[in-house]
Amino acid sequence: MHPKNYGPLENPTGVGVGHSETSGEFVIFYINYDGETITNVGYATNGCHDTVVFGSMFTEMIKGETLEYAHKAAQKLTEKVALGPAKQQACAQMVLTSFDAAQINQTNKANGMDEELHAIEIGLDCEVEV
Amino acid sequence: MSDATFFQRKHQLWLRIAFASFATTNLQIKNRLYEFSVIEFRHLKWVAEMLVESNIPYDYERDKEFCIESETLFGLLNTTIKEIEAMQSHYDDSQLSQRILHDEHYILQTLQETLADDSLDEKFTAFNRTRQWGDTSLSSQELDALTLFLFEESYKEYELIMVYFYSQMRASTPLQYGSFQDLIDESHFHLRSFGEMMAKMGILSLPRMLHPRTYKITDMEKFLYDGITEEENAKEECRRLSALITDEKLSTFFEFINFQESYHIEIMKKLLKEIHG
Repeated sequence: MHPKNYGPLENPTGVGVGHSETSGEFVIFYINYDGETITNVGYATNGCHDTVVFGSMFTEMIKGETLEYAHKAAQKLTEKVALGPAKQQACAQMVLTSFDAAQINQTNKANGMDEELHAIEIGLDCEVEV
Repeated sequence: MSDATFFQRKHQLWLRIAFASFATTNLQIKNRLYEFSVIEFRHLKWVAEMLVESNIPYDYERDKEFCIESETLFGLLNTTIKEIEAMQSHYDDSQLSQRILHDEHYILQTLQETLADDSLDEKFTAFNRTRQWGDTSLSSQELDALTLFLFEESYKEYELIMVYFYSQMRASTPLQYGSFQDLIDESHFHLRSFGEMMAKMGILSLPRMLHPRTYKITDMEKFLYDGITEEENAKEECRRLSALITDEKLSTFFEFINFQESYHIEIMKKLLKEIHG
């Protein structure tokens, strides 16, 4: 398996984490902006393969695109995934939440806050379906 | 050799040799390579102990281009030799360095002897993505379930080895140290088993890299509770796969793994009991 954009970025402008306190799973998202354009993205997770695949797909979709495009892409993906199993919704939510958190971190840093990363807990659990 | 870069190189070398052993179908070479990977992991442990004692931070990062896929056995062995040779200049006069150096001289000599016999080369099928289970005919549903299971669980076993290993290096009691060693040994066996199965199906690949958030444990109690949940999930996955797969040998194997997971839970409960005093 060769997920795209897997791993941290050097000197990211924003770092965000989406995590589940219950399962201990997380996605950490790295972004680099140049003006309105997302010049580079990276992510890492200890989650399942659905999370890895979703992260790979989403980062490929938004790399080199504008922030506005990335938000629309995230919205479309959320709508699509909502039609699928609950497990995949949780995986997608963790990735998209980490992306949101990375943007918050970037804004916070731009406002002078000393914040290494911004973390948001997600409501759904990405666990094995029984 | 007392730096984090050296640790990373050794980490990669352990993975390369272990995965080369999974990839080859020559049983004698397979067993020899696996023994070498065990030696490399032991080196890794000693290097980690030294780094921890010296308060030198290290991590589980790997080179972005690090890859174990190869067309042939000899291709992979040649890469291994180059990597071992590149490390030789990093050793100093310490007892540990000298021990590692001697071990690696022997490994190099053995690999070179293998390369001298052209008949031992092998075109790998471990990476060809055919997704066949030998001569046994599995349904596409069985193959899909097995593929997903192997990708998920090979990553998990690698993750567990490295997480337990990190905690073991920071264990504060003999019971902790020994329990982590038991868990590491068990996960090595599982990683080997799943790696062999992936190679047989042509889907052998490296588990993805671990982020420090995964292994730098700040709350051991929560980590152990999560670990118990994860083992229970793994048991469930084994049970589901065992029920789904009609091949008797495979089904029996997953039942066997399932039973082993139960004992991991007991080891973690023992650790939790110790934490609670």
